[in-house]
Amino acid sequence: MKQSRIKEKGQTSFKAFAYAFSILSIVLLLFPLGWAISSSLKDPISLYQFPPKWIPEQPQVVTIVVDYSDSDMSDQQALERDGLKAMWYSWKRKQNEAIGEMRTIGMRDGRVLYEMKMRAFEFNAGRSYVLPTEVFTDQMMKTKYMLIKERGYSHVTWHGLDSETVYSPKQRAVSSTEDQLSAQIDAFLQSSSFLEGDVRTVSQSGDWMRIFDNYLAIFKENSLTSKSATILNSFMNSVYVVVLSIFSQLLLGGTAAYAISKLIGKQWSNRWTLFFVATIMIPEVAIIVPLYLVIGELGLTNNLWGVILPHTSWGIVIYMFKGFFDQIPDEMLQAARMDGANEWRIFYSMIVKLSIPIFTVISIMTFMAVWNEFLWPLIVLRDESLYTFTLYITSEASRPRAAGTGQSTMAMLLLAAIPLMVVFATCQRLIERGVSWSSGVKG
Amino acid sequence: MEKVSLAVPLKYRKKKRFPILAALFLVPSVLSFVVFKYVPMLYAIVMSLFDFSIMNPPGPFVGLSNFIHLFKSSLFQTALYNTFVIALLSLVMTFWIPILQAMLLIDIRRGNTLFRFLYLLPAAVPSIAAVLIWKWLYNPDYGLLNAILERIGLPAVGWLNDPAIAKFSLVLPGVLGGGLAVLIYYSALQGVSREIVESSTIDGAGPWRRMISIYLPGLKFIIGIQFIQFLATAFLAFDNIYVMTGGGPANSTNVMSLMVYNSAFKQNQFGMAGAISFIIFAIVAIITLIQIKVSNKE
Repeated sequence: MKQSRIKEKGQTSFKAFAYAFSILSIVLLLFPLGWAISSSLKDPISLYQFPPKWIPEQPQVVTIVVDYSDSDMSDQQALERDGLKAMWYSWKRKQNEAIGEMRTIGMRDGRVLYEMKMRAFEFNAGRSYVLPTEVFTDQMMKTKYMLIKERGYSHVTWHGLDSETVYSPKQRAVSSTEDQLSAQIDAFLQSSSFLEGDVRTVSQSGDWMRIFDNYLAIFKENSLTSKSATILNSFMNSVYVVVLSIFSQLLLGGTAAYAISKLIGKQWSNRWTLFFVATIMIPEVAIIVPLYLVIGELGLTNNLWGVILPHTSWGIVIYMFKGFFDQIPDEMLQAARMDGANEWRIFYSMIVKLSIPIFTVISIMTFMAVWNEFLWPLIVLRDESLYTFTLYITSEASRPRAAGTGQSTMAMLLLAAIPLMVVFATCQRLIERGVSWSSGVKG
Repeated sequence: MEKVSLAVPLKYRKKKRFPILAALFLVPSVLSFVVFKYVPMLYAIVMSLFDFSIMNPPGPFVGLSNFIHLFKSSLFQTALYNTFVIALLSLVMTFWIPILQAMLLIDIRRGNTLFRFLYLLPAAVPSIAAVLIWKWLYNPDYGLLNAILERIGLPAVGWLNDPAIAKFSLVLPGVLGGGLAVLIYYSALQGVSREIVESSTIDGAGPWRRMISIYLPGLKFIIGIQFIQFLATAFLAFDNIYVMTGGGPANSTNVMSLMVYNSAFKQNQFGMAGAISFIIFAIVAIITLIQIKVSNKE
């Protein structure tokens, strides 16, 4: 269309309005998403700060230097435990602050005995196992020492009693009062008695790299806990359900719709179409309780197949498939038949290839619906290890847990959006085509 | 045409009646639809007539007393009322917004694909996750919405804790529009003939006039379809209510779908759940029939 369009009155101002309206709509639409992203990057204190801020605080790296010059400790384990105490107990005390990483350096007469560090995601993953409450005793660390080592929450480097490494402070050696956090930690350690060594300095510096630790914590928690219900596990459950639902839908729906459209007489075709498509009218909620009993009879409660199988009875899938097959001219099939191809051969060598667009469209529509599904898996699945992703995030979000886990919930919610975002970004055209097909308008 | 079909030998045409392959293709789906759709539907009706016991089905026959009990109970009356109010609220507040968004999008040439993508993007967040994000926005103490209200000098609102506005808060996220609905209307608008649009322009119709007299009538069919789906979805809404309020505060958001779930899986009253299911089905069927009647008349 290369004709010059006729300028009309009010054209320019209308265009400006259309742009302004659309941009405003989109900004408002993305606003909850933006807030979720901002929340997912925050430390607990700024998460619950009022009035809220959009920009998260910069995570701080805190270094504690412990001096053993006046102590005659020589046992490696005891020394390491001491360092871990300094690190874990002061972090636990300040657990809601924006701490990104903590380091402890143990030294004697200018020589480094040990160095240890722990990043925020490691502390967050481990703290409910290592320090569920603020019990800062020697005994506490004795019982948890092995756990910390086994699961690798903290990284400890042992230099040895006769170490050659000279202690050289890289950061400011003295904690100043303007660094509130390190001053507070210093005061906390000075006033407590669980440490064998003397706290020499506590210092801090900012590090933006640790801003994504709420996300890393989710995966660390996954790989370092004995829970059977983990985020990765529920993610895989969802993938399993989605993939098998799509596959069984394409197989059952595709074949049935092809039979209706091409293999049987007109009268029977109409009857069967009605049989399938009329079920679109049955609301899900209205049959969910008896459906649960039916699934129980089949022995599929608390089983992922109990979630998958009812997806093979979607009237809309048959409707869309039939609409597509009806457009394939009968003459083509007749020609193939005359060439001696049998019906099965025609179906799998000809129709399947022709139908790739409709297969894709239905796959995407099913993906969106099943990935989001909540009520049906909620009813069918009991074991947390079988939970799909939507169930998992809901149960995590509603679980009364220690304060300061709201940010990892937000991170989890955003992770849940990634698969569909990828689908949208890659298959926008197909979705638009599918949208116009499923709503009965030929695109 | 006639000649082609005559040329087909008889034995091939005969095959079209009901070949084995057709039966093979149909049986699994028929089985699936019977087991997962038709049996449960009949089952719901049967259940509603019994004081249904899961352990020892079906339990004693009670006739219509489940229904009578329901209509007498104030809890059900409240749920029925809430269901209608929430559906009506979302109709008034949200149904027309994607239509407007699509109609204004059709005149945008530059970056149209990007706009469509951005409209679609929020739909990538699973509805449950979106609900949880909104719950966080609504948080009376730390939520962003109350912070904004405070900033502009308005008193804080107990979004989900105040029975008077909890229904409104449930519907509010939909006001932002977007999602698949925009794409549906947009693709329907592309079906509106360009010639009619051009000729109306020549006849001197301004852009607003064009929207009302050409685009809107062009959308009539799809709006009808969407209307039914919208009402059905609004009537059956479960996820957002279950997660946001769980029916509270003071039953002000307790709806029928929630009652089905609670009476079956929380209170073990399966007969009652069957009765409510049947009522839901009847309401949705009536709405659909009215819609079909209306659209046939036109």
